[in-house]
Amino acid sequence: MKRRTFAAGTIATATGLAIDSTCRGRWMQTLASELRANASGSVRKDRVLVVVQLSGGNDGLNTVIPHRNELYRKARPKLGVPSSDVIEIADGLGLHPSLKSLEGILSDGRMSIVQGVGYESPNRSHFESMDIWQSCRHKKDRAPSGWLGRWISENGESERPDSLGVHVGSESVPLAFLERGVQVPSVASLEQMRLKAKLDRESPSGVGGESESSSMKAETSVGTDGDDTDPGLLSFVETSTNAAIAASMRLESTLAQSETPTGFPASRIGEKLQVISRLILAAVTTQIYYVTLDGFDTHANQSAAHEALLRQWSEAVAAFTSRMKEAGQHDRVLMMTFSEFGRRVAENASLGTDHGAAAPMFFAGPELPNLLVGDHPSLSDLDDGDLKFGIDFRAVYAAVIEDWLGTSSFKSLAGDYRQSALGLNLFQKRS
Amino acid sequence: MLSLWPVGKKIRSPVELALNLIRSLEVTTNLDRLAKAIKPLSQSLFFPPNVKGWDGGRAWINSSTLIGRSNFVVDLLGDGNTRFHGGPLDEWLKSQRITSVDRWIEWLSESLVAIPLQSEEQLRWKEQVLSTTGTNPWRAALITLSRNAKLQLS
Repeated sequence: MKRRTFAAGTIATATGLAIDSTCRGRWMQTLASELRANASGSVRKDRVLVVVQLSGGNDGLNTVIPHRNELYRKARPKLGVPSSDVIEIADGLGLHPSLKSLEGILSDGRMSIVQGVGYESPNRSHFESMDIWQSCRHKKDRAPSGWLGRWISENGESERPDSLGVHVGSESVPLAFLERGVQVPSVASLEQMRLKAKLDRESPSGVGGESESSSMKAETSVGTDGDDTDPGLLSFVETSTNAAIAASMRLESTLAQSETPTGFPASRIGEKLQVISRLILAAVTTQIYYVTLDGFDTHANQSAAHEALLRQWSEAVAAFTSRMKEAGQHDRVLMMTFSEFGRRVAENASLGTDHGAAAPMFFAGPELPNLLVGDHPSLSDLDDGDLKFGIDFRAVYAAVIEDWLGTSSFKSLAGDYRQSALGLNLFQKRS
Repeated sequence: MLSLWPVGKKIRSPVELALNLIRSLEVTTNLDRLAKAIKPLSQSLFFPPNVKGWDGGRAWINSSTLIGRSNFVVDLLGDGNTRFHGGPLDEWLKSQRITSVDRWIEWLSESLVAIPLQSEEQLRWKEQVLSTTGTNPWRAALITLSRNAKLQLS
């Protein structure tokens, strides 16, 4: 019996209730956290999660393609990918031909595709849906708070030299990382993180405060106590500045001896994953990295754009995983790719597709027992022309947090998704 | 009298940060290079990210842009084209009757920072400047200030 199954069973017995995904009582969460705390041996502090966000809504149906399905041909007369072109991964199911570079990971058994992922009453706005995926909340909360930010706030520890989370990119820190008291560094590039003009006795506090550590630590307190009228602009900038200088100094010293990993494609996503691989290989102790690849909003003339994006993504993922493999790190680094929604089943009149619902998620890195997790959404049983979701994205997150990182997912996901996570068999062999 | 409430309640945009320095120190420099130098701070002149414009506020601030803001000051000071009222920095300081590090720090906190620096903070600033070798104290004072959160607020 697995420890998780045991823990879940114990709670169920103790309370005389079956746990299901709707059960979110605080008392029960407390009880479960206590049970979990007792089994802290399984927390995997050495493991890394790289989140890749495909912004704009990736056309899942043309990524993992039911190419022999009549309904697919009917819905995609012009955009449909011919059976002769796909990379066959299961009977009648194929990957888009531009994902060729993933073949190595596929044959190594180091890839998993979770099919038909979504959530109840899907929102078709990019912003709203992305917020839902990043915050795990339907309604707009007053305080911005994301699932990874909450995870960091729960798992941060003072002795860790680096920030638990790092965002790589020049856009704003994603909502997923936001949480009161959590400050995640945003690294546009390693070059841009280098402080010019060293000052002697430089401390992370600059001229502002006391110097304590010279690390990339950033779980510092933002703002003042509980009053949400003004969470303290100055203290926000101060903690950000301290985090930035600390991160810069830590990077400088950590990266001094290490070389830039080679073999990455020249795309922006390739560069970002190159930065991440350099940080991982330099033994930076960050556990969550986050990058985005934008442009998936293919309303018109989709074919060429989608093909190019999938190629960029897959080439970067392949380069990253093979670099990790060469360095013997591939068993501890997991990549997770998602998009805020898929696209409508039927193509539109502009050779494109419009905002849809359920779509696949992709995992790569360690050996994964099942290439396909969940069923491909039905093309006949649609929800107003969109694919119905079979797997709640929070169940996938729960599997990652519980089974990959070995930590509790209650706070991060603002609910109990462990039972549904267990049913996925993302990390366990199907029994 | 104007209300003091709004003081220090707004984060300077990269352009505001640059103009604040340039106006206060009577700087002339290579403007083309200056415009390019604020790009990594997330603001490209006449090129907002979308029709709504820049998000502004806290969105200006992240590790890379904060490091970038400091590097921007370092680069501005190091640029061979940079002049202070047409001359080098020390002559300009003389013309302003700034002859000591104490006075310079006082002047900088009065002219460039919205929220006044406490005397203890000024003292630490001075210690940092005096302990810095390899660059002259006038420049060191500005570079030290470029890493102070208060420079980012107006």
